[in-house]
Amino acid sequence: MKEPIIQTERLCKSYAADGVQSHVLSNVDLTLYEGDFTAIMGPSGSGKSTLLYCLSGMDAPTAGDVLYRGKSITSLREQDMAELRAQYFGFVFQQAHLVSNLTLFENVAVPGYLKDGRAPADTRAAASALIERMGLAEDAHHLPSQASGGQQQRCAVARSVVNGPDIVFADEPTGALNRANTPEVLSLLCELNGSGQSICMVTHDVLCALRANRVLYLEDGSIKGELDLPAFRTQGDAAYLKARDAQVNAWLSSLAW
Amino acid sequence: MALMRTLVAAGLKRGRASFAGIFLLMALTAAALSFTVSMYADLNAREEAALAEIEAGDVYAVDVAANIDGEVVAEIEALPEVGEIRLNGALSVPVRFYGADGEAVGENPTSGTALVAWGDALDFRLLSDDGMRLSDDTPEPGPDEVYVPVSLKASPGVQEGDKLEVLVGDEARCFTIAGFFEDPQLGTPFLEMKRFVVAQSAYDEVGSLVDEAAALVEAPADPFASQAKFAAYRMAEMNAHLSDDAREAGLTGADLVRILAEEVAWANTATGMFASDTLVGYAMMVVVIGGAVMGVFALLLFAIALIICTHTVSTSIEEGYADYGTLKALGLPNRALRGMLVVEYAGVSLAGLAAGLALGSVLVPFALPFFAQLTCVLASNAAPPPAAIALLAVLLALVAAVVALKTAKLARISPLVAFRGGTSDVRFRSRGERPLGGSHLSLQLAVRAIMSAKRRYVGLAGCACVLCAFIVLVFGIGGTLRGENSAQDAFGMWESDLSITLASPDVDIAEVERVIEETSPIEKSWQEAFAMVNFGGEGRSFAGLSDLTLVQGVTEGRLPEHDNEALVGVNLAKSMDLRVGDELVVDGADGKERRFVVCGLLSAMFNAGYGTILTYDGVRDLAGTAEDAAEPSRQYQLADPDAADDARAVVEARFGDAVDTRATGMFADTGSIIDLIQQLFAAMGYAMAAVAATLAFLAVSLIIGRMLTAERHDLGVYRALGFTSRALRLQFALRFFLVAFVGCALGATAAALGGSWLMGQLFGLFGVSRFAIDANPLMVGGLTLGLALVFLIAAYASARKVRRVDVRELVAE
Repeated sequence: MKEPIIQTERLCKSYAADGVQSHVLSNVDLTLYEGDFTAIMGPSGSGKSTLLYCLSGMDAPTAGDVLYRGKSITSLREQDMAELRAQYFGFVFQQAHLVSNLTLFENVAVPGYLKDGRAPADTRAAASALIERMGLAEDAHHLPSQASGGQQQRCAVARSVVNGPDIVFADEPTGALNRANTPEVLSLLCELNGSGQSICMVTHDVLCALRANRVLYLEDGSIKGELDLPAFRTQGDAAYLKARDAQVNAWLSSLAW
Repeated sequence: MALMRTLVAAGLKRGRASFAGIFLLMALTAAALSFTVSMYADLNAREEAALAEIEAGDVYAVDVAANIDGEVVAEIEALPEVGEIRLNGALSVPVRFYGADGEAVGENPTSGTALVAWGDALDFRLLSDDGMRLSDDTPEPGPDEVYVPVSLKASPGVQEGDKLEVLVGDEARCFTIAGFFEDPQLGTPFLEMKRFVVAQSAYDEVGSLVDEAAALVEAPADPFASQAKFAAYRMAEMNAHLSDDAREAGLTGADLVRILAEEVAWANTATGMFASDTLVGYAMMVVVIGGAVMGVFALLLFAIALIICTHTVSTSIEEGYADYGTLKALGLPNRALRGMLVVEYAGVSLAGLAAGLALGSVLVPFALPFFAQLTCVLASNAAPPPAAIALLAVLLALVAAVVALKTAKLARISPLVAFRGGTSDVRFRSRGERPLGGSHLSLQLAVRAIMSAKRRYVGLAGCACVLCAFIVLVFGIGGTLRGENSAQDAFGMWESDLSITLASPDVDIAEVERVIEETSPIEKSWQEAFAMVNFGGEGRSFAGLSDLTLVQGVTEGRLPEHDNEALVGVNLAKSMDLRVGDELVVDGADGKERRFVVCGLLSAMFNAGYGTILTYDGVRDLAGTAEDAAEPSRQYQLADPDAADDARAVVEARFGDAVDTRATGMFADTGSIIDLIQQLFAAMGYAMAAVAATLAFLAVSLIIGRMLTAERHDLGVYRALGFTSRALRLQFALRFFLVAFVGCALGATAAALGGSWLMGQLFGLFGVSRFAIDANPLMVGGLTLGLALVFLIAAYASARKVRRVDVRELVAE
């Protein structure tokens, strides 16, 4: 039985602009489990990113609740929310969003220094290991402006897990990457999931979604469907990928994707 | 034109917070500068006008009446350079002041007194009752009334209704102070003689008493000799004007003084003859010092405004990189973009300077009555002087030039780079060799931020540097002047705790001293002798002390050890090109030549640096009083200075009128002025500290606002990573603290090392060429750290906007 990490209860989010109320999320109930690689799919404007940022506490819901390990996070104080981000959550954005005056190594290490009870030397060791694992060892002391987009995004992935978070939230992590860099980053995420890391990723790319073991389909602010898949085999060949792609596409077609 | 107007308006709107700050700084700068220049110009103009109104001569002289007889006047009038001469009588009479309640005023003037008659003397103008303006007419005082110079309000501190007692022999005549008048000639507290105006009938009455007394005691040869102020005798005042031809030929009062000294035997030895410019110099002494300090303060404000302008221009270009590139892509030439920024900054600066000019002009009238107590003229405020407007125009041109210079980098922006978001223009040097260690993370991140964009912090360091230098300087001056007798020591003065004047030959001084010692042991006792000597026509002071160890401020050489040695004031030495070892030749009161060896140079306010210190016997010989009885006054410093009042009371109780205990030391009546100067610098220190703190807050808030905009993305990332807004604020605070600390340390070091030299140059104008500011390391360190902490607090407070940085902005991108 998998342990739930994040749960929502009748989660609603709406925006008001020029006196017009726009409902982005309507009574969303979902649970994210430990060890899962969950992909949230949906057409543009379906509320995927809004859902992700409500789940991660970056945005406050209009109604309903978000629970982290059974405790509500919707009304946490700024200090407690910062603590949650520093200790338990990791983020990968569509853009790498690295700090411009820190080297790639430092970008990975800096959030690690916020980890409670860990010595700086241990963080440096963990950052070094991640940098190595992401294939950035040679460029570790370059600044973001001196690195390629793929390198930057790999660095962002490493940064998101340096603290060993309970869950990593990824918002279109390959959205700003070219074709060559996309599989590289997705493989890294799968690899991390393979070692037990829980991941929640928003994407509109089927190639990305098929790396997940659980796919949720969001439309008009509500979850319209859910697909459970076996864990992705990182060593899988082209036929394996094709078969999995077909399965996901068939499911999406059934949802009028 | 319409495009330019649109762009300028948009630019002003976008940077309104920065422009508001620049406006404020420029307004403060202009207010301080226009206030200083206006005050200086108004007081000088009034001094000049007041001298003209009373028809003061280009040369003023006062002497024993017998010395300026008809023959002398005829001799002077015969000179082609001399026009009109006005001669009037004056009475030298010892005086005492009493409050309206009959209590003696603590510090009576030790300077000489010239009692003059209304209508006979120059036509002085009375101040209104509230002291804010000049009366249109000055009525003759009543028979029991006296008008006194307005400077007496400050020293010794008398009010209308107080009493002035004139002592002639055993007779005393009491007058009520009925008003204060402007005396542009002798009114300043720094001159050795004060003039009091009484009705003609009262003058004649006192004159009769003086004549009776003179029949018994011979008038002194020199009205400025130390014993002369205790004697009652007739004097004459002379105001000699340059002839029209001489004036047209460009001659001045100083030239006339020299000519008189060369051509007229009396003038060659007259001790009380002064060029009008010399008297103006004495009157304006404090104004010049105050003006210089205020001027430096105004320039400091301007420097900060300029630094912030520079910083704002740079960051504005950095922020608007894409916009400028786009405008270039649309066809706007580089010159137009530069012109746009120059118009924005110069326009705001112009508005600020104009507002400040108006504010300064409004404030000046309120300050002028205060300066009347120091200059003895009440200036009224005219329109801001052209000099102030010209100065502000120069500052405006400087702003425009700096902005034009800074905007040169606009030329480097290419439309292509702009369309890429300007990112390729951002270059950081890799610091991989020394990665962040993790401990003291906020500090490390702060250092990294500074090192990554050093130029962004140069302005901040500059602000901190000039602010700290100025504060250390002002506190250093205050520290030197603070404390008992510190100001006297700094200005080369000495002061006694108790003065004793024997008024009866039956009293033995040894007996009086025994009585004093019943209250407190006597630490030092000495006698003072004073004489004025004519140098090149102008009177210069000579003082002699029986204990020369009291004299501070020997800058070169040593104190006189023999009667033929002289310690010469630095300004006198400069004017006569004297050095240690040279010979100073002086004519004594008897007309015989005395030769002194210059044994040292003196830094002291004594006679504005033109005074000379001799041995006690040396001065008595010079004044022609060597054969007379010893000076009747003795000065005492007590082991317990606080016991001086008790000692005075005991002596008065024991000896009654046979002993006079009123202060008679040479600098006894400077106490109030010294207090005033001490208070001025103490208040200035705190005011400057408050202003510096305000400026620090203003500068930080302006700089940090731009930084937050520039670093908004990174801040969002930090927040997404779990950094609290408090941690980010702390990081900003640490950045500002570190940079400010370096700037403050540089400024403080410069002020501590160069402040004494700077003040020596300033005070040297008045004889104090050596002025060691208090550079106590604890104080300097404390001020440095304190100001840096102000920057830290200001940055922490200003960085509260970090809370507005929302992580969702990263998503929006």
